[in-house]
Amino acid sequence: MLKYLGMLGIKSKYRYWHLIKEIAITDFKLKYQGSVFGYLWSLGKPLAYFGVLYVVFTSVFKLGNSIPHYPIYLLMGVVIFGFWGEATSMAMNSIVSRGDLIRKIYFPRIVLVIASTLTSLITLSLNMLIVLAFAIFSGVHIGFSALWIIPLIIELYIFVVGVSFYLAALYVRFRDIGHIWEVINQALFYATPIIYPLVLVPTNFAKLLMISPLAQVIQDSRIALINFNALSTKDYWGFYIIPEIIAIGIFISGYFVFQKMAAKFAEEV
Amino acid sequence: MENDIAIKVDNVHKTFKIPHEKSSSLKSAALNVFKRKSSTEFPAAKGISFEVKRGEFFGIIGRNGSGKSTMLKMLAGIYLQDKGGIEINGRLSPFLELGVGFNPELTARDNIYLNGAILGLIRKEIDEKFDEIIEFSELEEFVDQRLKNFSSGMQVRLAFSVAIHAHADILFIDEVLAVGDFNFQKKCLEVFERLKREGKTIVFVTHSMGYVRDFCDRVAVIDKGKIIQIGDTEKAIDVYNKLNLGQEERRIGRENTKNKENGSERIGNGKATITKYKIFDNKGKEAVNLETGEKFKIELEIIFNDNVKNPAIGIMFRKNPSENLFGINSHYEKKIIGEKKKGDKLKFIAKSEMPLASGTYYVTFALSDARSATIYEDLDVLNNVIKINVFSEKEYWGFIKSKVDLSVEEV
Repeated sequence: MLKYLGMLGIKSKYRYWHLIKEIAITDFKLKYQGSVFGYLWSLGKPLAYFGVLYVVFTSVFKLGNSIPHYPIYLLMGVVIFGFWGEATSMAMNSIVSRGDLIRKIYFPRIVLVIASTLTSLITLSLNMLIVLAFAIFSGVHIGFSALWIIPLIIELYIFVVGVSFYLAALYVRFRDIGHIWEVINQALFYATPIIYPLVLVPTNFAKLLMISPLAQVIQDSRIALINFNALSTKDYWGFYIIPEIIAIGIFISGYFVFQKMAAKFAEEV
Repeated sequence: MENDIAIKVDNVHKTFKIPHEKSSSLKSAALNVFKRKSSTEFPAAKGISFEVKRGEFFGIIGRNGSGKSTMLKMLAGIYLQDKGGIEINGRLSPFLELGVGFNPELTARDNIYLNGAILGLIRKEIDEKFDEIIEFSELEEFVDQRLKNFSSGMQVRLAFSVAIHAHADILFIDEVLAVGDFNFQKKCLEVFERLKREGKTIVFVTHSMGYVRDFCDRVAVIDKGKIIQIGDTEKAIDVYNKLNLGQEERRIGRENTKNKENGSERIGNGKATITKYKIFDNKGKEAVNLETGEKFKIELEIIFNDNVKNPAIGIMFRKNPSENLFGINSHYEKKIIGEKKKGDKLKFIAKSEMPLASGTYYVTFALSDARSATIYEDLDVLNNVIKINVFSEKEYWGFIKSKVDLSVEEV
């Protein structure tokens, strides 16, 4: 990890890695007020949301009835998408909200974006444990394939950080991006197979949807944990690679854009 | 870079563009794509070069807006210069401002770890210094209290304590001494002395010439984005004082003209009028700046509009508009002017030495018809009509300076 951060241009690697850790943990503590109850309380909103979706799509639209373990299938999608939404919008704000820090002291600005996304990643890890608990409780057979979730989350995290680089840097200059991003995320929610099974989507359209690293990670996580028969990018394209390339491409380009813009943050924020 | 140079600044330029219309949204950016953007340029550094040697206590002074803070921010890497080079040779602890990143919701303990991390310390290093930090800040009983319950003085103590324990080779200190109570300030000064002894390189920005004199080995004076003096401390302080004096002179001059125009706070029955009032320094130049102890002259011109039996003239220097400090009075000086007829003119001249310490003072001119010291009639009184600035090379206590002979004898 240290070598990896060094690659990001972080020179006094260890000290800045320590700073990232310290900020991420502090934010996490503040977010949940340092208590288990704080964390459990924060689960209320996504669980309620999940409950609503579950009732609507099993009793009203009966979309989910064809899918084995639909509740877990749905929960997995909601949790991963929740991470995406939270991480990107928090990271977008990470530079602006620490304006006082940036105006007064130097450290690589990238520290703030990484720390912010790490805070969300900690939450995601906890939430994944909850999904796992639900899965076991509802009788899903958990095999070794479940371990695939780890590289999938790493892929998703790289994608999230890449997108966050762009968002955080642009947000310093354009404050209305916040609203625009909200709308985009709403569209993305429906353009990602979260509530509906891909089988119901016309093939050409589904092929397009599955380019998205977000959709691919959600589908592959479902395959890994719940249902080997769920469809993913490979089933539509015959190979993987496209979403992965997109994730890494956005990460690398985002990194350079961010570093270029970071020099002026102290003056603009 | 040679080994004994800690900081090398080479021909650094920095200009801020201040847009006339601040657009901070994508919408306005999109709407204004074809519009020409107008902005004012503000040059904060115009070719600044200097070197700071290892172990040097280097002062940067200058008036507000001179560009000294911008320079410091470029040294700290917060701003990027447009042109020129900055080389830093050593580990930096830029406590430009104390308590950066302090979070009121966290306890003192958590804040020490967070602030320490921001200053470049790792957890283990903070663990080792934790007790020392707390002891220095005198907050032993409050370690696990949230910062929001701390007074501002306590927060500053904590912040300063963390900052000085971040063992850097090069420290930037920007006006931190203005805060905290007397005891704590004393403690800070002791720390500065210790840092100096330890041979740390320190760049110090302040308005307090006392600290500059006490600590700085070399000083740079920055004005309008340029270094106008660098080197000897006394010389730099001299240049800085002159700079301030010039500015003060213009400001007071403007105010005095305004007062003259308004004829502000003028009372009296109008039987006589003070038509001119001027203060001259020892070179005979009309002045608003006088040095403590300097010989000066006041000239008044008066015209009588009616017969006045016993005219008397008074001049008063005040600190506040109501606090009399130093007065000159023709009646008390037994200078009898004698009866004046309508249409008579008079020139009154008073010479003295300035007994007041450095500061700004108001001057009042009064013309009265005095029957005795206490029974008089105001003819024309110009209350606090001039502001003058008294300066002094030496420092001393109080408002008044008198000649002093000191001797110490062994007994």
